[in-house]
Amino acid sequence: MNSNQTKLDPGDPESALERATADRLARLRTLPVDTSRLEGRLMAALPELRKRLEKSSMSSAVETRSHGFWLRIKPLRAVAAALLVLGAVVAVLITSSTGPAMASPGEMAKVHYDLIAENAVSAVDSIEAANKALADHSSGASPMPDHMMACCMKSLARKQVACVLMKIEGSAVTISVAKASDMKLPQSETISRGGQMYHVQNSGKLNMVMTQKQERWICLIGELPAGRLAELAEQIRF
Amino acid sequence: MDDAADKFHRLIWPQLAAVLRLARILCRDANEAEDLAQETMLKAFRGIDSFAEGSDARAWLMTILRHVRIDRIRASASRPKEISLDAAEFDPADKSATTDSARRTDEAWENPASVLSAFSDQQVIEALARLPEEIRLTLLLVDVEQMEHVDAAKILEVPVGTIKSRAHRGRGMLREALLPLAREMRLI
Repeated sequence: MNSNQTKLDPGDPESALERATADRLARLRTLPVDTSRLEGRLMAALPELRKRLEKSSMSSAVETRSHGFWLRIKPLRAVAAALLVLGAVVAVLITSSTGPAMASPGEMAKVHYDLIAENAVSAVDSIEAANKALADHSSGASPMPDHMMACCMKSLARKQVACVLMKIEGSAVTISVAKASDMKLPQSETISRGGQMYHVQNSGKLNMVMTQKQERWICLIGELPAGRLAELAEQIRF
Repeated sequence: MDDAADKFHRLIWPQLAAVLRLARILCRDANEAEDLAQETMLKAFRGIDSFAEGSDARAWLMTILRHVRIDRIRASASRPKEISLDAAEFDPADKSATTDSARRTDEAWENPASVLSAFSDQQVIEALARLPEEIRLTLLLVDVEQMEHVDAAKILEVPVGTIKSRAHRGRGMLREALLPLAREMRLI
């Protein structure tokens, strides 16, 4: 809620009307829009932007020691490393007997804030930490250290999802992964990155982007712009 | 130019969906909305040097979008049905915020949240389209985009009080525009 709404008195019928109208309008914020055609038009009009976007999409595959580029690629590599950890966790997830569930933005926000409040063991704030988590995982007989497994698992819409809390550009970002068959994508606004559609939702200051790929449901939650979260999600490799 | 492209990509590009969504609600026609969003983004790209890092990219883009929209409306003399900017020149702050008609409309809404939830997005957008441009834009910034009144006031270049009164009046006008549909749908 923004401060514009705080002055409305819920006991006042006129305020109730105002609030209901404002709330209905607020729902238009999740109006689905497909940006792919506009992206194409802009890239055609701005070749320098197209080059920049192409460079960005290649960044996860390109190794370079150039200092400036390294700074840009570092969080992306951390995301990739963290997701490799999550991929292992998801491999042992128990598929629930009920059908796919839909997590509300409020529920996802709660998971994010819970992880922050718990000072999650799996928090990753650097490529070194992510690599260590990865090394811990790959050297052990079990898929994940027990403490990390416990910390990573959260219940979302009564489904088990694996979560890692990361710090990207100084901002907390939760990455959640579940089996695609367990979670539905919302009917919400979508944005396109690299040919992949990302469903966008928000709750307060938090943005959330969701997609499904490689039979996994992926959700990134944080205060970073939805486009940036989608850009990070695009780098995910299992 | 590489730096400009990098800055644009980092700070402005993530707002593309928000720009297109606002354009879509403002214009109704999908092609016109895309043209508006494209022109907004192109102007933003060309003016990226004037955007201060750390400031509100969305507000900056909304300001550009509004100016582009005004230019396009003024340039399209061939659209007699297009909205009149003059219709928004009034300041409802010094008038009764709701007309008698709107007041009667409000009395009809017993369970507003439930009734308003029954309308589809398209129905709400069509009702919004009947409002004066600047009132519609105020509602889009304040209620849809959830901007603070002070930020919306900067974008629309009016005092904060005007934003508050336009938002209040706009919500009433929207309910009034939706009332016949609500009756037709037997919601009230």
